[in-house]
Amino acid sequence: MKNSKGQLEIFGIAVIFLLFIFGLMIFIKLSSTKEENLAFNFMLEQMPSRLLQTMTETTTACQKKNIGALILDVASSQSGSDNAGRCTYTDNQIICDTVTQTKSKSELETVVKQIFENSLKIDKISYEFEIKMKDGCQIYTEKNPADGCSKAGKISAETFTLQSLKGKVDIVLKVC
Amino acid sequence: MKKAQIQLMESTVVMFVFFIMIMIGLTVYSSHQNTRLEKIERQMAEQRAIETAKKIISLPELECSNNNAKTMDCIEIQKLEPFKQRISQNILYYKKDFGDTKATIKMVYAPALPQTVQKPAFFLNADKQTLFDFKSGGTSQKTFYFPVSLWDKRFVSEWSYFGWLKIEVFT
Repeated sequence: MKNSKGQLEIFGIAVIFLLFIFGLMIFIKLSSTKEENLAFNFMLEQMPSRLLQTMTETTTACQKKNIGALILDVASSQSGSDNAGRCTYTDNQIICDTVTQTKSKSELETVVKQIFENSLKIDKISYEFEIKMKDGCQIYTEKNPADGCSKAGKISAETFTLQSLKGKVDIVLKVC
Repeated sequence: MKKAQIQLMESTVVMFVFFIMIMIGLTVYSSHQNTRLEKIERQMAEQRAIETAKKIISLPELECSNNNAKTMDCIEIQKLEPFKQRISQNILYYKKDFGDTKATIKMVYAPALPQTVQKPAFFLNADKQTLFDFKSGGTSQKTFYFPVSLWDKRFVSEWSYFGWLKIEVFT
């Protein structure tokens, strides 16, 4: 009888000890919950749609057409794709500068590059940007850093679709 | 030692251990509550920063409109200089509205202008200009970046430049 009472007490202590450890584990788990960065998340969610909207409306030096119109012109002049999946083009693009013979594809690349370099890139915001024919070849692509958003925890993305003479064009921006 | 004394000591030790455990529990709970309150406070500060940023990007003083139709995420370049002057004349009003905030605007891309046309007055000296700076202390800083169209209404139809609005909110 005496022996079983001692066993019961030890069992009681073990239960109390387990409860204590259990409580401590819950506390550690609760206090280590990663805090959400509301301000950054807000900006991240807003960024892709705002940036695509603003960018497609931007007036370029190419006959004062906006970037959206340049994308449509480039997409309408694509004739197929190379081995790497990039689009190939006919000569039917808008000529932006008669002296230098700059075409819309070249102008588009210059402007888009300048926009990204002086906005997202300079402020160290990671992104992936792509212009491609729907289920087809790639017109333009850019990532910062080189692996884009592949390692990012949170990604915010937006796709704008335009209708060109050669089919739909997707403009995709992922910010992370 | 008598059996009664041993039992009394045993009870005292049990009470002591129980008391210690309650104390530990209370300490842990209060420290958790403090952390939670600090977290709520930080989140509220972030919410305030978001509200301020939202207010600035939709300022009616700068909005673009065509035949009374407003355009989203757009600032009329010609309204920037008068707005800056207006702020300098009504600092208290705007500071009360925006709090400890600084707004900077950068013209990221604009096509080459015709030779007879000057750069917009607001960006005449540099492509990056401070719209207002109400910073007066504040330890924590939240930075927001927003792409905005900068409408130049000197042309018909208006030219749209790519702008980059940086809003820093200090709390």
